Amino acid sequence: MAGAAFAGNDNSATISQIDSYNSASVTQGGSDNQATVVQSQGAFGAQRNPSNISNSDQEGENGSLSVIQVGNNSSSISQLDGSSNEIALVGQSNNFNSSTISQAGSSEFAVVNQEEGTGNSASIVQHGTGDGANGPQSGAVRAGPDLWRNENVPSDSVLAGAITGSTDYGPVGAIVDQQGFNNSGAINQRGLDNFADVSQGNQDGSANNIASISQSSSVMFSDAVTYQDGQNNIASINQSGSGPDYSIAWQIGNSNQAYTTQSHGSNSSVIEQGASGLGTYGNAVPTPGTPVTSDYASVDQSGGGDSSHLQQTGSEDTGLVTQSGANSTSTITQGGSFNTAVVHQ
Amino acid sequence: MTLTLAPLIAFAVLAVASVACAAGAPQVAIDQIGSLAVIQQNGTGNHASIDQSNGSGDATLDQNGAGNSADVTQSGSGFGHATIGQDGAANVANLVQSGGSNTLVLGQSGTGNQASLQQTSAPGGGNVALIGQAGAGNSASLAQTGDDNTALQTQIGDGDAQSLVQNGDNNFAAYSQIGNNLPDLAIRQSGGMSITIIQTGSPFGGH
Repeated sequence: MAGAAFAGNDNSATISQIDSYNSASVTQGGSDNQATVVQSQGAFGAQRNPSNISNSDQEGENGSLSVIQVGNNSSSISQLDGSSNEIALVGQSNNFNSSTISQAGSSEFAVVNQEEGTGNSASIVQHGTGDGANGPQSGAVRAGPDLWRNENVPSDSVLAGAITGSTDYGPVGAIVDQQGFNNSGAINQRGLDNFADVSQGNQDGSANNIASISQSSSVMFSDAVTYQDGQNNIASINQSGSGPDYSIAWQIGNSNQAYTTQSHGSNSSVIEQGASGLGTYGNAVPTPGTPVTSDYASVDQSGGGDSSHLQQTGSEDTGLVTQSGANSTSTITQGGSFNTAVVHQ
Repeated sequence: MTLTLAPLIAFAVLAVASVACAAGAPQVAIDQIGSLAVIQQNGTGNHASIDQSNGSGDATLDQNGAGNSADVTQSGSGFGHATIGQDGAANVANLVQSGGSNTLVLGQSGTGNQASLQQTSAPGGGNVALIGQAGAGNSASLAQTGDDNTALQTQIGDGDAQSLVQNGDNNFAAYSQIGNNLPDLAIRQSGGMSITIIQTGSPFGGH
């Protein structure tokens, strides 16, 4: 077990554990602290012994924490009391990893990157205010004028932005990037001007993943993006602040489900199931892909003055849009046969 | 998104325009306000439903393929406008409008299509329906209730059937069928009435 505790400013801590069944604990108070925990047991992607644990707590401002783990590991990061402008980066590979990040200040940034594994879970909670600058993320895919999604290429570095070709990231927001099966990524944000992105799969046959984004309580001008490549995935975006908020959900595969809920008006929702190639709503794929089937999409907007765009490329799809406020707009486009489209206004 | 119902709607409008203009049909002003819903489906066996009950509603529904069905319900207190285009065989369109004032444009191209249409306006409101069907064995049923009802219906094809019921004041109907083996015409009007009927054999031959 390794531990580091600092109460002053401008401190730096590095913990490296090249073995299994290790535990690392970092506690830093004050400002401008940095900590790095490496429990890698070898190169990224290799199967290694499990059960390393990292717990980190930063309570000042302008701190940064990096955790890299290979194996069946868990990481917990807290950047709470009095914190702002802090960065938390977690990279995990192999199976059954878990990561939790809690940030309470403003202009915070968190990334969880879990690749080449199954059964991983990631949770990011941010209760502060962003600064409205959601980019740039060079190498990311743009969705419309404002929204981007982030995704690392397979077998790239566990940690975002670590080497050439991996994802660069913006100054604030929360990003979860997962590849493999049975993963779950959850982001919960409060405040305004937030950005959340959950990307799962990258042409690797990923399936059975769950992406969840909740932006609530006084949220407005917030963006939520989900991307899922594979089948039997579920995406859920809930934006219940005072609006206007924006969301995009991409799903490239069969038997996927997407749910968007927005309240308080003037919100925008886009759901694309299948690569239409039209690029109408920021589709990343310039050419049409194979139509995907048996998808389900639901949009519930209750404020008024909302807009919804739903696009489904295959057969046996279902699209349901409910807009209970006035002066809302809904567009549903379906290709293929035996589809169902329903609009309630 | 590119809607392909434009030719169908153009057909519906143009087909009735000559009859309507000759008969002095009233002008229709359509304002785009309130809720807007657009559904486009390409394929067979699809189903689309639009339900608008909040103020004014504008619904556009485009289906390309066979065996599709469309349901549109507009019940808001404001203005309701629906545009339905179906291109293919054995399609079914059902519409119920019960807003303050209602307008409908329906175009169906293909065989064996069916349209069941009901318009009920509030007192002082009005209903306008433009219906065009091209193909054999199509049927259209329209019922209008309220003041200032206008129905412009055109069918081109053999064995097509139409029925029209107008209840209220200041009714106007322009009714055109081009084809052979047409069934008995069914029209019932109450209130101030005006009607123009044209039935002729197909200029393209046939039975």
